[in-house]
Amino acid sequence: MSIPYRYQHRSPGSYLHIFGLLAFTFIVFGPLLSLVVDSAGYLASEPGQVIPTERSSGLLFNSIALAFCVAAGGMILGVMIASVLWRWQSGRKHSLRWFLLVFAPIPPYVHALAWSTSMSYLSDILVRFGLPGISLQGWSGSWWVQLMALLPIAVGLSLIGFESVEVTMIEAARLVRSDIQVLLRVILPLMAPMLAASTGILFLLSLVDYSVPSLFGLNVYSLEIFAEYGATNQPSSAFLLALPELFITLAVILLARNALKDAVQNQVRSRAGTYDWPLWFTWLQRFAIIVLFLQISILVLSLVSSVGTGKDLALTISMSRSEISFTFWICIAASLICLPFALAAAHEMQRKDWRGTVWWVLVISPLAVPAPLVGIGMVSLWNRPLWYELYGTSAMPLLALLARFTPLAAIVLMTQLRRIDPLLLDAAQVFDTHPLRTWFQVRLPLMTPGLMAAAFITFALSIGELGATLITVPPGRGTLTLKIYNYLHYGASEQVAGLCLMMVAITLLAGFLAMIMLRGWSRLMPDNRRIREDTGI
Amino acid sequence: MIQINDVTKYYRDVKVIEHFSLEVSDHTSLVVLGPSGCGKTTLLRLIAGLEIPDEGEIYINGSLVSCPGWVLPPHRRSIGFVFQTSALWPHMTVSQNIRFGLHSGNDGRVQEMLTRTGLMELANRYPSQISGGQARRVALARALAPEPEYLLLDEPLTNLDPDLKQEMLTLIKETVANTGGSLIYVTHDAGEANHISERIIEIKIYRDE
Ligand SMILES: Nc1ncnc2c1ncn2[C@@H]1O[C@H](COP(=O)(O)OP(=O)(O)OP(=O)(O)O)[C@@H](O)[C@H]1O
Ligand SMILES: [Mg+2]
Repeated sequence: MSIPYRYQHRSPGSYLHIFGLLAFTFIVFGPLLSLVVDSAGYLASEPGQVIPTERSSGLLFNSIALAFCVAAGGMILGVMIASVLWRWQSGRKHSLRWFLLVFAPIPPYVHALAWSTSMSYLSDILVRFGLPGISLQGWSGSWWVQLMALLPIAVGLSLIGFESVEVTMIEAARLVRSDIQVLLRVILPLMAPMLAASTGILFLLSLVDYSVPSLFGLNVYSLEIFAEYGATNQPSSAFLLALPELFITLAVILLARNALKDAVQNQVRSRAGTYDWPLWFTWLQRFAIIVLFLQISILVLSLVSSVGTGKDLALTISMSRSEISFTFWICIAASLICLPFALAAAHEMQRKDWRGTVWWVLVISPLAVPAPLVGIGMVSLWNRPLWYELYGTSAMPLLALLARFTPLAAIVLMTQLRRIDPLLLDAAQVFDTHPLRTWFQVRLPLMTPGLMAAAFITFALSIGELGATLITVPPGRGTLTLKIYNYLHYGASEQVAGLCLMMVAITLLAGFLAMIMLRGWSRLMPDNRRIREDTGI
Repeated sequence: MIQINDVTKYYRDVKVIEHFSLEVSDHTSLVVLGPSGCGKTTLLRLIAGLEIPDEGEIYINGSLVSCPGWVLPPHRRSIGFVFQTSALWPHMTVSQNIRFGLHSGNDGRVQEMLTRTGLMELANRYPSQISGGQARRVALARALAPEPEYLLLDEPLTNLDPDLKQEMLTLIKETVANTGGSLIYVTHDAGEANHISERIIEIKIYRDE
């Protein structure tokens, strides 16, 4: 069933829509296209640049290995945890299930701080008892911390996978086989496309993150791209270096595109019923849940315990007042400005025809672009005489945030547009006098919770954005993220813990508000699916 | 023997079945009739252990299998269930679907069921490659193959032409006679009902008054 979004005649709204699409394209793809154009010229003068060196291919291989191990570990833990949460079908436990996702936008470097602080604390204790100390370093440290940072996303994606399996398929199998057999032979195979897509997403997120490896002294490909730009100040040479990684991430996104689309569209609620797992499986589940518990408690406890007194915290905050307010303003601006453009794209994405497919691919492919590359693209696009006025102002980090997160806002909005009952819109058309009136009196109120959720999610992600901000922030300005990241390289301190704690608090708050909006939405539209089944529409 | 004692079932706040009792002894078949939405499917799901009763108990062969807060897992009840929708596993072929419920890879039984239901040629097709009526027959073959003691059939013969219907009814009755168990058959079709059993109960829609 598709929501009609056709224009019999071009209304003022349709011009706005076209403008929105053009703006979306420019904001999101402008930096990349500019890089492509620049690099083509550069490549013509220095064709040798594109051949990977031994060093860079070795590095790429290592980064892929790390990302793969993070993704595999994340999915195993994610599926185990989701297999428990999935059975929480009613009551308070049910609302607790998605609570975890609120932790997803907390940036990885905050996890890095939390884990290295608590590990050094543990190490001190061990040494005191004459045991060898432990420290999170290099490959294993990066692996563990990235795994922890991505765990909420892994659990969320696995949970969507479980929920997407049709209930009757499971019930038919439960009549003849034990629950573990049902899981292994029916549920997991039916989830397979979603599991593969989720592994791809985790792989991608790990591959493009350089903050954690850089803090643990591990060189990865994404860090190399950033370093190349720092060394040469040449957007084109950084872009050419990034190409191999970009091909891999794009390939992953394109392979996962259908499963992802299914995931954001259908959500079948599974039924209640107690499952009867064998003992070994219950123990695995318990282990996974303990890891999850550690993930959350280490994050909160180690930050809280390193902050010092309340007075210290107040001092830290007042010392960073300018960064905090700057961050706040550009994040609020980004979360609001992205909405109209995201909405235009979302309308295209939920079309049933080829245009819908093209826009879906267009919107998800920017997710494959490493953040520093977006920043470098911004430099390439805006550092031109045509708009020199804008370059080097606070508009740059804002535009960088828009380039990075407008596609995600569009995906959130699409999921919500799907749920608006077409009948409500048809009904509005029957009485309609003017298209703009329908828009403001029917469509907009129906979309409001979705818009607010998209805004809060963009806000939460913007707060922690590092890669693109680091490159585009004007001299003399700083964001909360940059301050934390710079501090982190000098080791943990009360200040950095205080700032991280603040960031966690703000992110969680935004995440909660987004969740409340999305839930409020589903309450507003009580089970469209059921109504349709019952009435046979 | 299946015994349902004073069972009440809610879906969220809506009462679907209230203080319902029923006894089906071995070697008997029972037909359940009733208007759409009266709770026939819910009744079968309660017996199968796919739903938890909110009040009352269910006994199979004299032992407690369901009460509020505890249910015996469905696969330990020796129940065959044909769902209102065919619910075939899309990643398994027709013959794999039928074999799944058989514990020892009993290929003879799979072949027998394929022949009896006229599905020999379709053995290696996937559910997406067969028609609605063929899918119904696979679902029936899948439920009958393990020769369960209790057969719960929820409108199993929709989408079939009269001749096939007749054949399938015969197959169902034979299987029940072989296993010596009981059959609960939900239908809207009076012809099917009369063919299966004289014992017919009619469920009324529960209304909160
Ligand atoms: N998962 C559910 N959540 C809420 N209500 C439900 C659910 N399943 C069934 N119901 C409701 O419970 C009532 C009984 O449903 P049931 O499926 O048992 O009816 P039925 O007698 O099998 O109907 P039909 O002949 O149409 O198959 C219906 O009013 C239905 O809307
Ligand atoms: Mg029914």
